[in-house]
Amino acid sequence: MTPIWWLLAFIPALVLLYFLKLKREEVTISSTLLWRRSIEDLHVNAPFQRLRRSLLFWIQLLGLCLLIVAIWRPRCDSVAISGRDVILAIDVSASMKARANGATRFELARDEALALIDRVGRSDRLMLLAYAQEVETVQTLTADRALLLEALSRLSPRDLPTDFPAVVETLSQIARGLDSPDLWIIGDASHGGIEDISGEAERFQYRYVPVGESVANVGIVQADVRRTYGHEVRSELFARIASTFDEATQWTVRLLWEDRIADAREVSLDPKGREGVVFDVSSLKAGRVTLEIEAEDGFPLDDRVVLFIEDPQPIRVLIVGEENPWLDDVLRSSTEVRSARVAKESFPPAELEREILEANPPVVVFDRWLPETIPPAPAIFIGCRPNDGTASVDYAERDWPAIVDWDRLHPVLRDLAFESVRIRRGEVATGAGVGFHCLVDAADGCLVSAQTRPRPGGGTVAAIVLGFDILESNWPLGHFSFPLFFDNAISWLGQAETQRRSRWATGETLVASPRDIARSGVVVEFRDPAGDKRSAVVDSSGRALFGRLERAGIHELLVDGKVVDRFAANLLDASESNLEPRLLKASAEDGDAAGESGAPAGPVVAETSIRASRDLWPWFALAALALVLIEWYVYHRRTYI
Amino acid sequence: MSEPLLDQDFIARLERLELVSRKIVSGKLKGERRSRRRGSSTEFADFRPYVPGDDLRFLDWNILGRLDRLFLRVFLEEEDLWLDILVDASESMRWGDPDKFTYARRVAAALGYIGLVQQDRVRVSAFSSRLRPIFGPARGRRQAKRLLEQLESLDVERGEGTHLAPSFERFARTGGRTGIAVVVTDFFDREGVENALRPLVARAATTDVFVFHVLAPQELHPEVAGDLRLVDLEDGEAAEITVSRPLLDAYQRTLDRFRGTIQMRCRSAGMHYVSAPTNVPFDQLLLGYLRRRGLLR
Repeated sequence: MTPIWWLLAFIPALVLLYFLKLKREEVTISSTLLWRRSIEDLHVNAPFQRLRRSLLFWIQLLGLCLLIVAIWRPRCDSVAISGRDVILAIDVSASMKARANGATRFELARDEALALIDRVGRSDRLMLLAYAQEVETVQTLTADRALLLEALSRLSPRDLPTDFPAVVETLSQIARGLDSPDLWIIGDASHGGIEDISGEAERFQYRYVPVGESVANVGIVQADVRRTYGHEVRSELFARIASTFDEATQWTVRLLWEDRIADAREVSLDPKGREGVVFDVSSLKAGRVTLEIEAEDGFPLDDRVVLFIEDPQPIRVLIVGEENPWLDDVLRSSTEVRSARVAKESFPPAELEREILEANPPVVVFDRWLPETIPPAPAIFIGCRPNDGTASVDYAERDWPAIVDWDRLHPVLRDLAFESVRIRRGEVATGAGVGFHCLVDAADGCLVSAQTRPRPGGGTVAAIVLGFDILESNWPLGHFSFPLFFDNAISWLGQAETQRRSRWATGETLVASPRDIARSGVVVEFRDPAGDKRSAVVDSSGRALFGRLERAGIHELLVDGKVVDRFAANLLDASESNLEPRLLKASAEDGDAAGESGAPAGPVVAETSIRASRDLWPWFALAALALVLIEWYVYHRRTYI
Repeated sequence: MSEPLLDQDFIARLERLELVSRKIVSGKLKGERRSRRRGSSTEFADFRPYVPGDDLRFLDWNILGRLDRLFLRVFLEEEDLWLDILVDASESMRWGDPDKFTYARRVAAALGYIGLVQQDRVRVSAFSSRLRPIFGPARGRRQAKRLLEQLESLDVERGEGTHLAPSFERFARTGGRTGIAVVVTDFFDREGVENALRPLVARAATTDVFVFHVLAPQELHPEVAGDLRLVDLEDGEAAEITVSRPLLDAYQRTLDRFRGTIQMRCRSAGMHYVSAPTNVPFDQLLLGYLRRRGLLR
């Protein structure tokens, strides 16, 4: 609080005094002669009467002195600022919204920052930064306090997690560009990561001013809606709830569909424990689901998660190549797959390009035939292989390749067995690196592999490559693994490509692919939960990029002013939900270790807050106010003529 | 009509009383008492040598015959007595329960009545900031009714404070006669009592001065509490007090000092100080106390 506000606070006090002014009862008497003399007698005989006579004067004099001292603004500089340039970085991560004792951590940090700005010498310059995942310059180096105060007033906490190692790295780089600056960080220390700082930044020193106290919190740290494809298609909402309470706790978790309660669970958590909870949302129609914990802690941001679910859509499969009744039968038998065969001469069909552009392509099965240009869609290659894989793969033909092993943990091969499968002829692949994963091993190579292919405009698309013709094997004959393999493979490819993300975490870059975005001249915008609109950046592949999600809540995608899609952003960060000051603890431990090795590391923690160690004038102002009260009391209680 | 100051029963009791002056008094008419001044009454007092010009009728012929010397027989002369009654009519007197002004007027009425019945010359004046005659000089029983009427219709003088000194000075200047002077007042004069009493002190050489100090019981023992703003009845001056035990003690000390000063000053000048709290029954004061003090017999 600035001095002027303190002085304004005196006005109500004086008004109060006026209303409290002593109302004496008026009594008419024959003569005040004797009373006057009595009062004089009382004054004359009272001890220290000389002092008492001028007591009001002394009180007023003392009060005036105190006010003068208060205006002079005495300081108690237990922590001195010596640098000419001062860098002040303020934590604006989500945990700064935690509230305790009526104030948020950010409010405390802002008070500390105000105190620091006040303390910096008039000729010194100060740079104001804000950090969460990244460091953001709020105000460049300046000696203009008004600018700094204005910049500080603009600052507000975000819904972002903290990436402290990246922050320290950036700060150290900024500091290197200046001449030995004083670097102060004000934050809640409720994040780890100091142990991950390495390189030059590890030797980087700064003063860390911790604000806020440890707050016990319970929150949803993970949540997602996933569709499980198997014998029965189900949609399930998975959530993980974490507690930092020191005792075992029990919470009610409610599931709401469009603000109506759909389900509720009791979740018991061990001290500082985590627990998962699963809701079956198969019966819910497409819409907004909210998961919330009935907790009244100081950090409501993580007590609620919003997600979007969609109606289950069958996975479309496009088969192109030679006749294959086995394959056709298998794909037709699945209710969750809608397959269609396309003649080689009419491939690719006209709509495929559009579907790829809209990020909604079907799974294409190339059965022993490849077009000249393979479209960037998820695909299964049977007896043929893509030539545009991201990994370097070599192929070699083999007769009677023997299956020796398979990846039982991969979703495509879950619960499958290949012991009795015999293949007359096939190609074994030997590949390495990112983009190549062997699913089924032959004796000297990979018979079935999962590969990635590049997608125009960035990213990759998945593919499963079978190095043999299934008609030249006994696989379709009496092997349960045959239909299950294709069911799994199509689910895996289709799920990866076609299932829309149900949730986004704050700090991520929101990418959307609306249908009509490819048209030229459309206006694509995003509207964040606060209602602020921002033009989207549309890349060459037709994707709209929103940028970093800084606010939790529902973001809307607008095309020509019309809402075409909605996205839910949530904190979902276990580290940010843990409101205990872990950073300094880790720092102290590191400091001990560093002390042994003699290497400087970690922050220098300010022992007291800047605020507490600096300003004394409020106390003088309060003392002056107290003296005014005493003076009022003495003036009105005294007996006078 | 205001309430009678004296009822008939009390008046009847006053009939038997007479005022006594220890001073020798002189008057133009022979009163019903002997003066110390030797005169021509029938009661022999002494002899003195003859000097030319003496009335030869009082020459003692027996002594002349026996001693051949001229002596005159001297007789005690019976004179009328001047009774001056000064009543404080300042606003401060109209206060208290019973109020001081009524009490003062009753004292004046009673003493005046006794004086008139005993053929003394009675004069009644009221004063606040100045002296103003309201009755007499007169004597004789027939004047008693008028005296009582005058006193009953007398009211305090509003808007004027108490200034004792000019009133008493005027009394001292204009009187010039010996006898009895009765002053009834509360002595609440901001200018002080010392100066006020000085003219009376001069007068006390020839006159029996009785000072009745009238105070209400509320002035003797104030029953006040809390935070008060005391307003002076006469001049409206205010004193803000917070009643406390030390303040009440200080008041009591001041009151004792106030009364003691007046009493001491009166005694030193040969005046009679009579404390007259208004809660002391009036007949008790007049018939008991004043008889004991020798003003009445």
